[in-house]
Amino acid sequence: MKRIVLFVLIVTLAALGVAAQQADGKVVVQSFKFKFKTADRAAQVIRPLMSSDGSVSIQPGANTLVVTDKADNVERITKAVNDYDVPSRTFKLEIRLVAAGRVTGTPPAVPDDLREVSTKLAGVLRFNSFEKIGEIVVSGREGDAIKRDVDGIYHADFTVGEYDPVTGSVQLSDFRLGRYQQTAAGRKELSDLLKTSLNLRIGQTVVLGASKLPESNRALMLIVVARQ
Amino acid sequence: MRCDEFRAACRQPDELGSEALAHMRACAACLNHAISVDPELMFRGLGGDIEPDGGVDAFVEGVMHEIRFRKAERIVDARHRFAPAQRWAIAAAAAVAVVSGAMFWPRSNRGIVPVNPVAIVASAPASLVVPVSSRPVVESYGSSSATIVEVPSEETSDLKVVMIFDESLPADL
Repeated sequence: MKRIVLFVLIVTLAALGVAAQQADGKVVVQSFKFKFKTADRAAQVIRPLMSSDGSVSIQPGANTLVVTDKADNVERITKAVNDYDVPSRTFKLEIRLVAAGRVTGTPPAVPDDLREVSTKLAGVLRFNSFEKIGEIVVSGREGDAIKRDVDGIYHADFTVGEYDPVTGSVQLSDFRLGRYQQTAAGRKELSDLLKTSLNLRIGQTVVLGASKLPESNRALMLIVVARQ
Repeated sequence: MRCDEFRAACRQPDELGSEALAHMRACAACLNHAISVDPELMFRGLGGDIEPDGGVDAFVEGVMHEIRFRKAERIVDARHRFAPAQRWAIAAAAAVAVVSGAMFWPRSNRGIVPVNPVAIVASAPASLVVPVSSRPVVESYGSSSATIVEVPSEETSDLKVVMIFDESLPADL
């Protein structure tokens, strides 16, 4: 009889422990009404922050998101949403075009503003020659379409996407890099080289190299930095 | 009793005596006559006196006493079906079942604490949000035959290198 009573006591204590654990990971519901951004797009932005137990529902009519998740997750989501739902941000984009190559013998001197990047690149790529082709610095708000010539030889156009507070990045969507070429008739025509969409973390230098083959001795380097 | 006497007696079927009923059981022609007069006469002729010994009331009282006795017996039997130790074991098993149910109940079914909608604060500092995951630098590329290599680097590195090898590109980039 004593053993049975003891067993019942243990079971009761275990039940109390489980109840306390459940109280720690309680699920809460939070609604967010958006003023500057759409709830639909915001749902995609916050999705990486959600736990497997969480759920999100969109009310397009009220431009509202209803998030159900663990309390600590909802706290992080609230911070991300606060950072996301702001008027269009303006970004400063620095884009440099560099011709990288592999040369035997003594490579040409690297321009001063490329020295830091070239040193780092030499560690991961086998290029030892870096020649600056051109540079543009543009400012654009979220949603702006940008079109610029680079040194009269290349042409870049893209759309500045939305800032993603979860990854701290901005997207350059529909990024097209073309090169002007002289036709037989003497006209200047633009031919596309690259068509891509890029995610740029704010403040990070992104080097996008393009070459025909891995063993090619020449590559076109696009060095891009996005700043807020 | 003769047949003509029986048929004469049938004019008053309620007053048929035992002698007349005995004749009816023995004589098929009189039985048919009796049925034509009053069908109940046939049933009266089948048996004798069905009143139990001591009268109907005593019989009913006896049956009811038996029913009450059996009912009391079942109740006493049910109370003594489980020993005290068994009853404790059943209580403990029920407690275990409740706790197990609480542990394995789907989280989505647990109590939800509603929170009132909040106004979004537009001036929250960006530093509050720490990047939790990175997206690929090249989200999409125009040619599906190209090979895109993202050189591994630390999440917080200030330099990210991505190479695109695309045979459709001109050699004189």
